[in-house]
Amino acid sequence: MSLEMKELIKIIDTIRRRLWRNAFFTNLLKGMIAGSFAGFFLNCVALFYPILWQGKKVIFLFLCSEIVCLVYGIFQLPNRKKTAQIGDSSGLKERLTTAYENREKDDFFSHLQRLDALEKSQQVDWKKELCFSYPKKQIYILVVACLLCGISYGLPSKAKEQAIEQQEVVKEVTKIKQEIQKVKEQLQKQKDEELEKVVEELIQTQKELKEVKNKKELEKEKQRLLKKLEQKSGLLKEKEEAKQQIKQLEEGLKSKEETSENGEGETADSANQNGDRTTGEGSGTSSTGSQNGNIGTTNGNSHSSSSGNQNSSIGSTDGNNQNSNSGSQNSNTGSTKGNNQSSNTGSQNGANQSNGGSGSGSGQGQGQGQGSSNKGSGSGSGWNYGGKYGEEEEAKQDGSMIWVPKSVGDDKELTGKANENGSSNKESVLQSEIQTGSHKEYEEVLGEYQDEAYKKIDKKQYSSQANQLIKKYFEQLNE
Amino acid sequence: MNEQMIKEVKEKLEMVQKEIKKAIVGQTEVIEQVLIAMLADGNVLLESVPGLGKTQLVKTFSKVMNMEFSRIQFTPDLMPGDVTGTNLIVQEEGGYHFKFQKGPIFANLVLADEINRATPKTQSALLEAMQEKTVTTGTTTYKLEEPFMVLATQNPIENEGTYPLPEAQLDRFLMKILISFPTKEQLRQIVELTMGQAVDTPQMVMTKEDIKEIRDMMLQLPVADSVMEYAMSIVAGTHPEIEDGAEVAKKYILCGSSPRSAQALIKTAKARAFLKGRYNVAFEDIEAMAYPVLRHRLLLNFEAISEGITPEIVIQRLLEEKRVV
Repeated sequence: MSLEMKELIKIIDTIRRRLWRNAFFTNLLKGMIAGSFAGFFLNCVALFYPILWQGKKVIFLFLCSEIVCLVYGIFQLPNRKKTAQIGDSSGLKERLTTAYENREKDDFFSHLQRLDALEKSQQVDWKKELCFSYPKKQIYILVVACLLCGISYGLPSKAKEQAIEQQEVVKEVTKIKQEIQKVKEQLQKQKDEELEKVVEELIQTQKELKEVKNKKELEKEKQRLLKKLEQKSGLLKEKEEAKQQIKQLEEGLKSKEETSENGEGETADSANQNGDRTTGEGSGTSSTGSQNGNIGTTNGNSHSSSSGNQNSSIGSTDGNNQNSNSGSQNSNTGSTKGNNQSSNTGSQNGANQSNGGSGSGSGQGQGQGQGSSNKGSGSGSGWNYGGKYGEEEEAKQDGSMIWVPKSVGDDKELTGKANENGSSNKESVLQSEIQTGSHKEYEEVLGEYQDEAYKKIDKKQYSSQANQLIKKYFEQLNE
Repeated sequence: MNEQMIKEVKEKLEMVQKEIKKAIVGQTEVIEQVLIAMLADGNVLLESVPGLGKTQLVKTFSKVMNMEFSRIQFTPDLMPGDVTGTNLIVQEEGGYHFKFQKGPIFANLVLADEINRATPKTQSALLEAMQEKTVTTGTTTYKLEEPFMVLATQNPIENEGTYPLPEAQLDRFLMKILISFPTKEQLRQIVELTMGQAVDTPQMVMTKEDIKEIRDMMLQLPVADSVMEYAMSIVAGTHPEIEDGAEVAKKYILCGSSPRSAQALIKTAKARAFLKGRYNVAFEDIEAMAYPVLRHRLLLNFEAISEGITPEIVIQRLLEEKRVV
C-alpha cells in the first residue's frame, strides 16, 4: 500500500472513530427514551395491578433498554468503505471512496487520484464536520418521558399499597427460609459429627473388647455396647423426624408465599414473625408477637415464652422444651429426649411428648389461619404442626380439671456420667417412665395464667396491641 | 505521462473555455457540454430556435482547437452525395476518369444545420460517418480524419415538412443539448459584441493531437463501484418492462434507453470530472450528464404526452428515485 493511501486510511479511521462516538451518544439517548417510556408503562400498570419491587423493575427496564440500544449501535458502526462514503458527503465528491476502492491499483491515474483525495481531505476540518449535535427534539422527548415516569411512579394507589405489603411478606418468608436452611445444614453437620462420634466410639469399643478377659466381662461389655447403639440410633431417628418436620414447615412457607402473592393471607403490620434457632445448652428465647417459631434447638433447653396467637417450635432434641404461651394456638413439635412441657392457655393447646419424657396437653394439628390486614390486630397465618411422636394426653372431657405438668429437671440431676468408659450406672431420662404433675381445677389454672399474663402486662413486656388482645382473650374466657 | 502534463492539459482546457467565451455570450453550460462531447469523442444534437449562435459556436470551437470546420445546410432536396461526396468525371492526361470529390463531411467539425429538414435517405448518409468515422462510396471506404465530430441542429418549431430523426439515428448522438434564449443582459452583450467595435477574436489554444491525448487520459479515470452502480441503475430504470425499472418509467416511458446510453453516461461523466479538475467520477457528474445523455433516448407514452410530461421531468424523477442516500 502506498504512503498516501496509508494516510488516507488514517483519515478514514479518524472519521470512523467520530462516527462511533456520535452513534454511541445517539443510541444512549434513544435507550434513555425507550427505558423511560417502558418505566412509565410499568408504573401505569402498577397503579391498577400490584407489582412487587416496582422501583427495581423500572431501573432494570431502563438499564436493559440502554444496553440493547448500545449493543445495536455497535453493530451499526460502518466499515471503512461506508465510512469513506460518509466522509465524501462533506464535499469531497467521492474522492475518498474512489481512493479506498482503488487502493491496491498502481497506475498513474489511481496514484494521482489518491494524492488529490489526500490533499482535499486534509483540508477538511473533521472535528467540525462530524461534531455531535444534540438532537433537540429527542432531548425534549426524553425530558417528557422522564417526567411521565417520575410522576407515575409517585402516584399513590391501592394496588401499590398491596404490593408493598406483599413485598414485606416475601421478605419475611425469605428470612425464615434462610433460617430453615441454616438449621438443615446444622442438622446435617451434626449428623456427620455424630456419625464420626459413633465410629470413634465403635473403635473405642473395639479396643475395650480386646481387653476383655472372661465371659462375664464380655457379657457386660456386650450389654453396654447394645445400649449405646440403641441410644445413637434413637437419636438419629429423632433427627430424621425433625428434618421431616422442617421440610413440612418449608412447604407451609411456600404455600404461604403463594397465598401472599395471590393477595390472600395478608399479615398485619404488627405481626411479628420470629424464628429462633438455638443450639447448645440452656438457650432460651422470649418474644412477643403473633408468630413465633423456634427451630432446630438441639442439645439444650429451649424456652420460649410468647404472648401471641400462634407459636410453634420445632426440632428440639436432647433437652427440655418448655414453652409457655398465651395465645390461641400453640404447638410443640419434635422434641425428643427429655421433657417437653408446655403450659398453654388458649383455645387450642398442643404438646408433643418425647420418648419417655413427660408432657401434657393435646391438640396436635396443622393449622393455618387466615390473616387480616388490619394494622394492629396482630393476627396472622402461621403453621402449627402436631408432633408425631409422644403420647397424647387429652384434657378431661368436662374441662373442669386440667393436668398441669411439672419439670422433671435436666441432665444435671442424673446420676452417673454419660459417655464414660467402664461400668457406670447411668439413668437417662429417655428410659424413664416418670410422670409428674397433678390435676387442678380449670378456674384455678386459668386464674394463675391470667395473673401471670397481667403481671407481664403491668411490667409492659408486651406491645399495646398484644395487651389488648390478651385482656380481651381472658375476658372472653371468663364469660 | 506525468503530473506536469496533466497540469498543462488542465490549463489548456480552461483556456479553451475562456477563448470561446470571447465569441459566445452566456451559454456556459452549452460550451461545457460541447467540450465534454468533444473530449468524449461523441456527436451532439443541438436544439434551439434560430439565431442563438449555433453556427458561431461551432466555428469558434474549430478556430480555438485548430480544427477543420464545414457546414451542411440540410434541405428537403439535399442528396446523400451532397453530404458524403461524389465521383466526378475529370479530364486529365490520358483521358477521362472518375475522381472522388470529397463532400463537406470530410472535416473535423461538421455542422449539420436543420438536419430534420433533409430526407431520411440523406440523414442516413450521416449515420456511417457518425458511428464508424468512415464514408463508403461505391466500393471504396474513406476514413475520416480524427478528431471527427458532428454537431447537428434542429428547430423545435416549424415542424411542417420535416423528417423527425428516427430512434436509431438519435441513439448515435452522444448528447442532445438544448440552447435556451439568452437573458436580457446577455442579449445586450451580444448586440454590443457584434455591433460595436472590434473585439478580441478567439485564439488557437489546442491542437488535434492535444484532443487525442486528452481523450486517452480521460478514459483512464477511475470510477468507484457505487458511482458505477448508480449510473447503471439510472439506465436500467428507464426500462418499464424490467425489474429494475423505476416507477416513473413504468408510468410514462414506452421504450427505454439502449446500452449505448450507459457507455455515453460514463464517458461524459469522466470528461466532466476531468474538466472540473478531478481525477474521479462523482455522483454529481452522473446526475449532470444524465439529462443531455438520456433526453433524446426516451420514448414517452401517450400518458406522458397528454399530461405534458417532458423527458426532463421523467429524468428528474428517475434521479430522485435512484438517488443514493
